[in-house]
Amino acid sequence: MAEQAQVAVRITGADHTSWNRVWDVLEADDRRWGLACRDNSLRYHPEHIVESLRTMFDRAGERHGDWTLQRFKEAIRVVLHENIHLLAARGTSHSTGMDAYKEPAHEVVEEATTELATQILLDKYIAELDLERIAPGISEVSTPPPYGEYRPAVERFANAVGARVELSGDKVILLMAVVNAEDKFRVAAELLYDKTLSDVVPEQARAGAVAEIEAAMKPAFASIHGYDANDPLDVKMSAMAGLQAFQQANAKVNDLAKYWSANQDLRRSMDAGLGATPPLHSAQVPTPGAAPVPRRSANQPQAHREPPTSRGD
Amino acid sequence: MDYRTFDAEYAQVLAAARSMDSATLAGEVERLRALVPLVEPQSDQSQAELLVSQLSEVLDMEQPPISDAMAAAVRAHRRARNAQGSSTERITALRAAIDEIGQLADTVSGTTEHHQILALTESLGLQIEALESSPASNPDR
Repeated sequence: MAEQAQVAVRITGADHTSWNRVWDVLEADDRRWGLACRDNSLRYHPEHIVESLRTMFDRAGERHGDWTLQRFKEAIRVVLHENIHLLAARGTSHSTGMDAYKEPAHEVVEEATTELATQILLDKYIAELDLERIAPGISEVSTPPPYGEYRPAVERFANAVGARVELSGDKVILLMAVVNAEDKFRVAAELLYDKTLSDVVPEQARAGAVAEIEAAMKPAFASIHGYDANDPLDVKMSAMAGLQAFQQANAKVNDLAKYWSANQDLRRSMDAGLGATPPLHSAQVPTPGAAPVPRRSANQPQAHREPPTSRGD
Repeated sequence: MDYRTFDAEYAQVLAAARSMDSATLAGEVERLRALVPLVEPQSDQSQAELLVSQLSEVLDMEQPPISDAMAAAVRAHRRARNAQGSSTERITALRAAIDEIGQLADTVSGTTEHHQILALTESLGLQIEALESSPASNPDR
């Protein structure tokens, strides 16, 4: 378990895993197969996961039929999925993002991103752990990924963000996957900000601008929380929601760009004031535009004015 | 037409898509496509074109059919996720859905769909974790 947790960190490029080195089995009658717990421990189903993997290793090198290989691969998929849930940025952990998970938009994006990253990396994970030697043919079988009602939204969103910032959709997904449930939107918002706004928005207004972009993304994802993977129209609308989340975020980016492009004198004076004591807090300085973002803004005054559209212009 | 105006048209189509049938939506995509060459400055047309092609791809999505067991499991999943009430009541609803989904998975035991149906319980389990625990402990800090 320890080795595979490190492989998950390595192949994702994550800062660290929050895993606390404790794993346990779920009750035998538990319907869940895996769980990344709030205390950063892991739990797996004793039969479907633990016993499947034990059998796979006990019978290392043996040939198995497709059905058995699918069982093994599904167990491996669940282990990788749960380990990706536990990846987090420096100074954060899976557990610190769990409150955010209660919000529909965050749950949608957490699960879809985690499963999409699992699908992107599953073969590499198997290769890194040399599991083809343990279960010959395991790379060839496929298992159906869950969260069919959420994945299209995040997949389309990541593709759209990627196209805007010149990254692949998979890369965007992986960047979002290595932070906890609370931080995923921020990663996407920062990608858009860094590509399009960092040269025109004053540094003091960065956190507020990122928070506004982040907020613009959420309603579309929240709207698919009640969707049904079995309903083709819902699945299509899930994809549509991903485009909508991007459109809303991109519109906010364009608003901010337009506003700050017309206020470059203000930007220069604010940037020049960075480090001054006290920082700029005068009548000429814009009022806060959004709630502060603690990790980014703890030492920065919130100092940017609502862009024109936010004021109803 | 500037990009902002085009984007507003695009946003309206996205917002109204749910209430449109496929033919109407396809018509809207074609209307947006016809607007792209009108976007000024010309340098913004590629961004507008990209939006239209992304929307067009979604229209072309095809979904494989799913069994009755999966349909019922997804309904149980949705009911539990959207359950209202106190934390205790929501946890009760989530646990009931986990059991119900498990029983539905048992009806297709021995198939790959068995796994897929059971996988729906994972997010419900995480929801229970989130509701049951206080926000206090964080071993990493």
